[in-house]
Amino acid sequence: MEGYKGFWVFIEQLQGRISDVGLELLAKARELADATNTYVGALLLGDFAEDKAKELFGYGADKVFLFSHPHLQIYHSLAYTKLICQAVKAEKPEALFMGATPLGADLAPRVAARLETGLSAHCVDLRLGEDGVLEQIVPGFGGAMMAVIVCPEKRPQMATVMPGVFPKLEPQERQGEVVPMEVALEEADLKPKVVEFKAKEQKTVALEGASVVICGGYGMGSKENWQLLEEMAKLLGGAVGATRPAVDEGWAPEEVMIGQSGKIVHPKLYIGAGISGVMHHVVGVQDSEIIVVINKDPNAPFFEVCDFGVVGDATQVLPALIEKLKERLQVD
Amino acid sequence: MDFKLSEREELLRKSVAEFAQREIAPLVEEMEKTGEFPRPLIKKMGDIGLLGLVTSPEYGGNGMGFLARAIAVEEISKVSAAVGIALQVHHMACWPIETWGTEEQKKKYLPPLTKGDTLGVCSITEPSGGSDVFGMQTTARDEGDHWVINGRKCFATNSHVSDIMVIVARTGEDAKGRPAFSAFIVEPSYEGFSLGHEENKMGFRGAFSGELVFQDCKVPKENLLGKLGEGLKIGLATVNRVGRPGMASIGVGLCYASLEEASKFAKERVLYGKPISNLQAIQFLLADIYALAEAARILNYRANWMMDQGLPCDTEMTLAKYVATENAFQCARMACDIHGGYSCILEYPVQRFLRDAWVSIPSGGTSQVAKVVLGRHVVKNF
Amino acid sequence: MPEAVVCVKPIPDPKHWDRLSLDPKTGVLRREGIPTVINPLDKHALEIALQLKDNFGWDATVVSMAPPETTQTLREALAMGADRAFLASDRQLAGADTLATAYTLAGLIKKKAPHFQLVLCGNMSLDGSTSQVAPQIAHYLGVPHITHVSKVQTQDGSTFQVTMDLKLAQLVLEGQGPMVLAVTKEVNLPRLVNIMGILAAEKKPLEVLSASDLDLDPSKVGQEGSPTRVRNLFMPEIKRRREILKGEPEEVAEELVNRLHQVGML
Ligand SMILES: Cc1cc2nc3c(=O)[nH]c(=O)nc-3n(C[C@H](O)[C@H](O)[C@H](O)COP(=O)(O)OP(=O)(O)OC[C@H]3O[C@@H](n4cnc5c(N)ncnc54)[C@H](O)[C@@H]3O)c2cc1C
Ligand SMILES: Cc1cc2nc3c(=O)[nH]c(=O)nc-3n(C[C@H](O)[C@H](O)[C@H](O)COP(=O)(O)OP(=O)(O)OC[C@H]3O[C@@H](n4cnc5c(N)ncnc54)[C@H](O)[C@@H]3O)c2cc1C
Ligand SMILES: Cc1cc2nc3c(=O)[nH]c(=O)nc-3n(C[C@H](O)[C@H](O)[C@H](O)COP(=O)(O)OP(=O)(O)OC[C@H]3O[C@@H](n4cnc5c(N)ncnc54)[C@H](O)[C@@H]3O)c2cc1C
Repeated sequence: MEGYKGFWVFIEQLQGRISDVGLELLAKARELADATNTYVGALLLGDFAEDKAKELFGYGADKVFLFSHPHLQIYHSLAYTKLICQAVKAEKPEALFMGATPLGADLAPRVAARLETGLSAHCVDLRLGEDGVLEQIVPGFGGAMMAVIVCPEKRPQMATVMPGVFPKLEPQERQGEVVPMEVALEEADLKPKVVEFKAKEQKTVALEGASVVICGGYGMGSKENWQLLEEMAKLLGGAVGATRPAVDEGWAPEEVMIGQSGKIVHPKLYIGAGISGVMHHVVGVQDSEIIVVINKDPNAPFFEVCDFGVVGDATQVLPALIEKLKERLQVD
Repeated sequence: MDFKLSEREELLRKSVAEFAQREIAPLVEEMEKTGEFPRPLIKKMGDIGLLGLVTSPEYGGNGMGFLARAIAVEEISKVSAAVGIALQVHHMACWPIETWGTEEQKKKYLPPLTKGDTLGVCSITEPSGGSDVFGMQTTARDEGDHWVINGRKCFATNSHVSDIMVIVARTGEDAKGRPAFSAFIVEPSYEGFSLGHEENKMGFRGAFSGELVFQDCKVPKENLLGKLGEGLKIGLATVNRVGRPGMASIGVGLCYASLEEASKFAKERVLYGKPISNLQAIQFLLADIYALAEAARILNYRANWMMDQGLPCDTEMTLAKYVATENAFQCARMACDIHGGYSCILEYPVQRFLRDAWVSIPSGGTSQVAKVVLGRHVVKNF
Repeated sequence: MPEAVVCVKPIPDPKHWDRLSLDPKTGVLRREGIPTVINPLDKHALEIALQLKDNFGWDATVVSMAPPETTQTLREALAMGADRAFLASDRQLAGADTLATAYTLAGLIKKKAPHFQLVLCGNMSLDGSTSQVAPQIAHYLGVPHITHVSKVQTQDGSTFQVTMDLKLAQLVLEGQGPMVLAVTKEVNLPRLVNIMGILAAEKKPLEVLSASDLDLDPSKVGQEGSPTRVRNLFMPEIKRRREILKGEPEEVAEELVNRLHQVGML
């Protein structure tokens, strides 16, 4: 649309630490901007020096709009909304993306409403349609239905995007511009007032409701090998489950048995190692979004219902997997 | 004719189903193991209004009526037929008190019964034979300012969780020399009353069925229910109009429980690379379960609707009870067939449906007795 | 009496979602024969209002925008204990995106409960599941909002301590009405409907309003007033991929991590 330029990304931060989702969105914005000959803008709100803003160039930003003020260290929906809307009205970006995190989901709709523009939620993909309009792929009905959403007549086109769907760029040597923005807030913008901020300690995740489940079967072989599953679960922020024979062997407590006589789980990612895939177990995991099976027997029935199957000895595959994951997730 | 349930009844079904899932389902395993009724459930059933379905608002009930009760007992029984019978027999104590009781009796007994302070008992059956009511041995003797009851009742549902019991006992002979009976309201604190044996049943586990023992039990004069000599009328009317539709509703609940479990299993169990629900032989079993369930439900709703309209309905009630409990057994049997060997394993509920359905058949009158009634009706009317 | 307004969205019963389909010709979602239920989180929102009613004498008003045949779900909310319900139902309102939905609901609230202290929403509907409506209602009402609410506390029924769950952190905010809260299931356990409630609900007011009853700008409602358009709907193939990886542990591990990343799992 005439007069609107640039793909913008809201950079989410928690206590001064920039979350990955903003960087992932910069990579996607970069791709879209390159395809349409425009620039990538990043909105950084917090209590930051310019250096922090400059880090974003390497991830794909051309311009970083920096709103720095002690009051912005902690999220306030009204204050953030006001500042972002002021910038959008002045600069007229083509599109604005935010992470589909709790914070993004709190902020984006309010911004969209104030700008009277469209917003699509929890996108799992973004692409340019033939008419140059942004096509936003949105799941509904718990993923049973997908919608392709467009916003043809209002700008900016806004979307919140699920964390993890786009890979962020390896930081490159790139130049850009930091645009310092004025932060003028009134008392009313900071209401309701924040009285407490608690970082949550990472508890062990309960099996029900876990978004990652690592499950072991009789093929794990021993209590020592079971540690591999615990390690994987910790790495991915998930919970460990077990089949009945594994429980019977005493490798895992009865409460984490999955299946007909145990729990039914609905994770996004389920990884089953050393499990044959008998119906009694499979009924408990079949709602998982992605099923990974590791089994040394290529004819194990579990491979029939998996997304990704690894034929191999779990006691060798799991350690290798843990190494690769650590590299990828940059933890030690 | 209108087969559509009202918004009220639909909402009732949904609410009772939610109640059963939240409050009863977690208790079933323990009930199966111990056979004990979970006492705290009584208050919860009172709070939600289940205990007052056939009692008027002036005595603490909600008076939603018999069709509503059929729906509620059905939904409860889908989760636990044992709680279903506890509830339905409770209504068998409330209804005769409201129908034949004095104002004082109603005011004294109905509010605690509907609030959930206690479950009621209605006990007629004796070891001498449930079908042969004239053979009842328990007697009540007029001692001027009180009654003295002697005898032993058996199979009394809720026996060990009740504070209010409606019983029938012999009080002499009528003008033609036949035994005459009267009904009484008895409290367990009365001198000479005690609880006897508690049966260990194969089904309805978690609902008490026990003996009530009367040894020179002193019952206050004012606890005669109805008129002297009306006991058999009261007892049979209660069995026919409350007990039978109650058992029918349990049967309907079991039919649908079997339908749901059978269908779920058939879709999950994979043989020859496909769910067995693709096999026509399995679909035929599912079709039969469905047909029997629907037929039972419609008979039961009709009978209860007639009761709500004040129409004579004893035959329809008996028919519904007979068909629903027999169908429940067949449905459970077929659901078990579909489960193969897993039907024998306690983790799968179909074996419980089979046991419960079996026990539902004699409760409230055997199928033979039902057929005696229905046969007589056919010969007279067709 | 202070008033809490609860936004209740009727949705197709999730137990029957396997029966959803798309009309092959028009691409429109078919949900015929699927019963309607209250969006589960909205019951948690209603529970907050009912506790304020029990403890501090508040009024609880339910509002909804939905087709007319969904009145049964509002009756259920009344049976749980709400005092009255308003349903905006009109062909003109159909096809609304979240902005038009929020504009309409805010209009309904301004008309029928202008002195509200709290507007309570579910954090997300199960069907559309955008989580966008509550903050947008707050915008149109000109009041603050808090979403992802996992705890609401009050000593006096006028100042509220509200916990917002950000997954990695929690914010505790303190404020007074009027404001909009969108709650998660952690916030409470909604009460069950009881039979006395069902009977009482039949006597409670349930008013159905048309678009013209609401003093709305017709260009801002329904499909007309929605900046977003659904270009098309599709049902994703939920068939399993069945990609089998073979090789040395390091190789397959690398392969697997790449695949998991591609499907957004890491
Ligand atoms: C597959 C699919 C994808 C969609 N994607 C988008 C999208 O990306 N952007 C967009 O703008 N629209 C989208 N929509 C349309 C959107 O779902 C509708 O506008 C819907 O009316 C409101 O949004 P929601 O259900 O997502 O509400 P949410 O914001 O998830 O609902 C939160 C709460 O708001 C309240 N609420 C919501 N709707 C009502 C109502 N009608 N009546 C009363 N209270 C209500 C309830 O308390 C509810 O718990 C999509 C619809 C589908 C089916
Ligand atoms: C009524 C009933 C209820 C049941 N309920 C449940 C239930 O709720 N949950 C449940 O899990 N089970 C349940 N079962 C048991 C179920 O039938 C299976 O026996 C069980 O799921 C099999 O567990 P498994 O796959 O761990 O063991 P197995 O079937 O013994 O399979 C072990 C697998 O590990 C593989 N393997 C061996 N060594 C290795 C290695 N080093 N690396 C990789 N792979 C290896 C083998 O190839 C084999 O496929 C139930 C059974 C019954 C009868
Ligand atoms: C779980 C359970 C709960 C119960 N709860 C109660 C309760 O709360 N209150 C209560 O009063 N009772 C209750 N009963 C008792 C129930 O009503 C009796 O079991 C029933 O009436 C049958 O009596 P009976 O067991 O003594 O069998 P009998 O009467 O001894 O019958 C034996 C056999 O003779 C057959 N028979 C009897 N008469 C005839 C006939 N005329 N023609 C053909 N065949 C005939 C019967 O069908 C049966 O096959 C309960 C029973 C059960 C199992």
